[in-house]
Amino acid sequence: MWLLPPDFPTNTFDLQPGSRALPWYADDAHAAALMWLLVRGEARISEWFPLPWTALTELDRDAPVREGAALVLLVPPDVAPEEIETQARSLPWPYVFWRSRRPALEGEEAWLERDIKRELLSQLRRSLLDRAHPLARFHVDRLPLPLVASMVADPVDLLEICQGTMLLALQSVADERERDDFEFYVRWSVGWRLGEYLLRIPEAQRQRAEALIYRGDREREDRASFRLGAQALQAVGLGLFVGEDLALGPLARSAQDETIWAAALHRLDLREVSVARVNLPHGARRTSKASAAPPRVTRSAPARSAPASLAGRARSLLIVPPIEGSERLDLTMMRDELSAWGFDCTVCAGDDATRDGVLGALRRLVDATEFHDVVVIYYSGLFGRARLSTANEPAEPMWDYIVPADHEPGRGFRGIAEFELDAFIDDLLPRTKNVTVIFDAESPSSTVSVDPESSAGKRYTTLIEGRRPSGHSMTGSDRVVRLAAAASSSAAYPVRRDEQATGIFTEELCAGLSRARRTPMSWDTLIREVRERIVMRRLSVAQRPELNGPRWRLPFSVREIVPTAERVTVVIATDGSPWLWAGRLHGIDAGDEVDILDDKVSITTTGRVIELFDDWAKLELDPSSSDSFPRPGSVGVLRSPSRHMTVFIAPEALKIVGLVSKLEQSGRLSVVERRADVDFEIILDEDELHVRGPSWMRRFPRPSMTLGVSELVEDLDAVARSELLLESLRDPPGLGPSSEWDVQVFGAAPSSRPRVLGSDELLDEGTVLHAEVSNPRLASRPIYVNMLRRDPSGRLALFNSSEPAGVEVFAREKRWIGRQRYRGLGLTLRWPSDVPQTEVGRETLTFVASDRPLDLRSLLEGPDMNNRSSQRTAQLVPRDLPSEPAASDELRSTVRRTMLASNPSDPWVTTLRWEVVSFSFEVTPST
Amino acid sequence: MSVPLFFQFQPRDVDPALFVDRSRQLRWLEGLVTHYLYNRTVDKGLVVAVLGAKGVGKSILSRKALGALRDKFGRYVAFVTIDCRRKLSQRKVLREIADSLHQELARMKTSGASEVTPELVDTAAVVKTIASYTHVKLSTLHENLAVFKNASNLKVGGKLLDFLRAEFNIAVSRDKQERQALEGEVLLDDTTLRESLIQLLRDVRIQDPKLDVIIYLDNIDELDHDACNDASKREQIRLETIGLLDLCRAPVGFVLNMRSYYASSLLRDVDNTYTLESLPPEHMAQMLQVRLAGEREEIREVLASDQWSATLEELSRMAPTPLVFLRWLKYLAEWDEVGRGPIATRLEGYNNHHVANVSPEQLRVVARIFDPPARTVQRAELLVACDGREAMLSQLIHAQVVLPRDFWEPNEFTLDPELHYMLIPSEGTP
Repeated sequence: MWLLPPDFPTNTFDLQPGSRALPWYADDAHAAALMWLLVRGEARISEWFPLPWTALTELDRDAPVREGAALVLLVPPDVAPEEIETQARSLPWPYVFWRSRRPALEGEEAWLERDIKRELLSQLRRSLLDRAHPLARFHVDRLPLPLVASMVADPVDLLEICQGTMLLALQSVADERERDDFEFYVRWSVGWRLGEYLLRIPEAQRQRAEALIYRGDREREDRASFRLGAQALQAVGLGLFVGEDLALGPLARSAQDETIWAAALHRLDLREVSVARVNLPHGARRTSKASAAPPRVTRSAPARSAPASLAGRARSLLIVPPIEGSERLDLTMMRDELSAWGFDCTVCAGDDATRDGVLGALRRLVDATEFHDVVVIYYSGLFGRARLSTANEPAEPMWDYIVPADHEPGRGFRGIAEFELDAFIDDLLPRTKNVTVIFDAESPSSTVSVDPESSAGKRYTTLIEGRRPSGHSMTGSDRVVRLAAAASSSAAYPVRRDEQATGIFTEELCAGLSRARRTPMSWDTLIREVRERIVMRRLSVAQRPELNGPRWRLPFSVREIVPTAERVTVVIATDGSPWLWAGRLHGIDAGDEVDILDDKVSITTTGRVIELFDDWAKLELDPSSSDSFPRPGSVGVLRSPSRHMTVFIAPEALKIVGLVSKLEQSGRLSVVERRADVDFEIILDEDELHVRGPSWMRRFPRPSMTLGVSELVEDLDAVARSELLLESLRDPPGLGPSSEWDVQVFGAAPSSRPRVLGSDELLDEGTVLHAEVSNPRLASRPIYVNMLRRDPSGRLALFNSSEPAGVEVFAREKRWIGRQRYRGLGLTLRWPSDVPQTEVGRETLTFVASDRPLDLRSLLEGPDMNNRSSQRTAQLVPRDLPSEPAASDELRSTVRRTMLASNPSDPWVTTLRWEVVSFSFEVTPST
Repeated sequence: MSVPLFFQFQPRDVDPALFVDRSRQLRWLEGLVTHYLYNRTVDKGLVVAVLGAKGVGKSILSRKALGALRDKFGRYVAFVTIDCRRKLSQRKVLREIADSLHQELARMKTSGASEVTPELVDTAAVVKTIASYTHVKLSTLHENLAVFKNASNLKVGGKLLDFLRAEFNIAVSRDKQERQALEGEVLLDDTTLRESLIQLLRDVRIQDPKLDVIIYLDNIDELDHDACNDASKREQIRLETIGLLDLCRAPVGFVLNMRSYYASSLLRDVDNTYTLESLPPEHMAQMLQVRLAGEREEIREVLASDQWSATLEELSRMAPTPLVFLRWLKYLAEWDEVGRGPIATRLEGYNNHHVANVSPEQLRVVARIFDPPARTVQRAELLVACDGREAMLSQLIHAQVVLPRDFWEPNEFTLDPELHYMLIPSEGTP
């Protein structure tokens, strides 16, 4: 759906209320896409509900039907068409769609082409020719819609093929190859789609069906064979079989085109080989008409079902030890989903998942992995936490471990420690960058003590001594995508389905991955969705899935979707109103405008902040796009946040190419024309760019070339974000009387033990820091602590990267931030490379404790400046003019009044309670 | 010269503001209804039917006339407009009439029409409530009707309540104890609903010499257009349509729109029918100007250029109906990048937009047998053009490439007017 224009008119279709059949050949995703298309383009339909046929008797036919609601009746294949029609006629719903898995009435799907396709084409045409189309620079206007139109009747097929075409075109750009062969891309996408339909035909009939398509429909020597093939084609919607005659549909007829047939065969081949072949469409398994002319796409990504840029083999290891002897449904679900992505799945489960079995499987995985392979390690089971217990060192660090089948408390430690897992991943990384680890594990309830004199204790003592922590598996690193069912110490909920156990996380993650096969989305987007769904299902935020590592990557790919602006999550309140899961602390202000991306790629609607709280902001949607109500978990992109810092560019520096435009790409910097009261000033001296700002701000001059300009702007953008955040944190409301917390900062000079640091101490560069946060009261609620480090450059960074919404600290619990649980003493103070080492610098650690998770990354990290499209005005904004229209002032005063009220207007939003503690130190650079 | 993309131009738009020409037909329709409203007898209503091909302008004509009449008589005449497309059954149409009539009477009462009493509005609400049930317990029905018991205070008439009491033992004035003591269920079928509506309309008429109702049923032929391909469904839809038209027994005004090929055996008792023909070419251009009023100036400028003027002139001569003219034009403006050459060639890809299911080769073969465009073709001849292939013929019928000449006896077919361009000779064609 991402190719649909955001302003897709709600009156595109003129579909009168009534009863219609959805195409029998449509699978669930297809039918859903069709219904959503109607929601987007038919003003009288705003929502739809599936209803099984057997539930018809339960339906209250006399109850009023909500305006805009459509019913999709799921009809079993054995129900007679007359019965379907009679029921459909009698239902009081204005729109009734019925869906049977086999054709019931001749021509039942004809309305799709007659009433929907033509208008869809017209709107697509309008959208693609729009110069403001986000893909305009990739020549989206050249997409040959008439060619697509001639080869499909179904509007969903039409959209899918158009989208597949554009993905191929974009891939070509990425590959730096010719990018204007759109007709070829269309043919390849059509063939791909055709192949997907053919795949649905049972193996026994598929060859007959393929023969009918490939040779045309004239081969009828063997009537029985013909009939079987024709029926199979009709079953998947590729033809119409009447009497003894078969009329092929447009998609099937297009198989006469060599490229299309080659693509279809290629798609059929992929079912039986690994996903890596998706991207290497050379060498179709069968003899085809196109064999002499292999397709030119070398790394195609029709992308409906595959990672976009893999060149190697996709391998996965699923480690699922038994829990209380229960069957594990999550293994089946994850294996099916990974298989759908094209992974070869190796399973280490049940009684085979012993310590030796798991370690052996991991070793084999590492040994088999080759350059550019895609690797996934999935673990579902129990976590444990252990420490070497000695009388002399009670504070010996703890480590996490996974619990294999042969680990039993009290019978010798057989767990697999996090650093053992890290070691395998360390071995993997030189072979491939594309590693994903997924943990759906219940958290430990207690800590196991391992006797250092036992064999396990000795083994771990050796391992701990010999290895630097990498954190890939349990805490997260920036090189490996790590998905965890819950933040450390929080619960991961299991559920039972058909007498089998599974984790909610696995269930929701598989659903998200399934969607990601159809709609490209980053890990970040996917995990937001998963998190939202878990919150909605459990009505709790206790289970908080985490994502670390390169979160903007596409799933199982090294390609990234780079954020083009600050992104925040959209949630829906109990009263149905849309909210941003971000507020004043995230640099949002009243009147700020937000583009809402429903399908993660295109803007479906826009909104404006009308009510503001610390970590929530209420939105008012653009009334002209009222049909496009965002879904929970949608991404909101801040268009031009009104809170920003000002930059004055000295006249001589204005000539530096790209400086102004680069600054304008920052959402948090505003170029002004007057020098007075600016936050930053950029001057040019001897061909070098200097920056002046607050008294603490010192920088080496930067070359006035492209790289220097980029570095300068990125630096200022980061400083501006830091300042805005610190400004927001100035007036904490307090955690409340029932909460109490304490924080201590530890520092250790090289080769010495950590000691508690007092504020304003003088530290040397190289000092290792960590903090200990405690929640001492017994009856206290959990607190969430963010640790922000502001180095001598003035830039802020988040320390708690493994739990980016705050380290969760339960009652009577102490947690370390910064320090690894084994041997890692903390994070080393480094002097910023762009700050002159002439004086002492100030290092500040700010701890923000809140009574619910608080993820500050949207403001702190901001967009990737090199990829941000310019959305701000190209004109210089004078300092003395407000950057927002006057109406905003009124709005702001309204909001201020609202904020003064004791409670937010929606009881669903409770006020965030938070407190701040800061520690400042003087740092001397090492010479 | 390519045309900038349209902003809101929709060929299917039937906004009466887009009405052009046909002042004679407009006067005819307005005159009939006005005459009826000024010269009424208590038990006699009016039935007017406007017939014509799809897209010829029936809806715009009727809506324009009824709009003007509403402006004139709206204070004491309730105008109810129902689009029958895809309703599939008379019940849904009847239900919508009951709903709309209640709303309209409530509106009139609110706007100060003293002829519409609260009792009358409640009487309409009784039918609206009944329309939402098929099987219902008497006690439940009475509970829901209790809020409208004011209907029993209607000064004149009360035919609806008499009917309900006599036929179903339904009385809105029962007290709570009586309501709760009721047992049994009642079946409120289509006939009951229709009869209730007729009684309600009688009650409305009796209230005041001026008070009346005009019901406009548009697109009756599209109750279920696909039914024409199946004998049993056809019979079913015939019964539904006849049932619906039985409503015309009510002593109020009816304006009916349907395609000519549908009306053949249905409207024998309707005296006032008018078959609308297409617009003359010069009025097609006028119609276009009206529809382009909301578009950007640059679009109108391009369409006024010599090249496009010639195209428009040719289109207006060739297009069999105004809708086809507008659709062809929209296609050319949106997709015809070259903008030159014979119209037939420029419209070549038109069919791909809504009949891709039928192969272009087959479409050409089939179109050829309909030359000249108005020709009707026997099913057998059509089958021959399809190479004897039933599946292909079926594709043609379902895609509405060919349309039955008579909905009720689909043995002869005509070519969809939108495809008539396939019969326009190209340059060099003998």
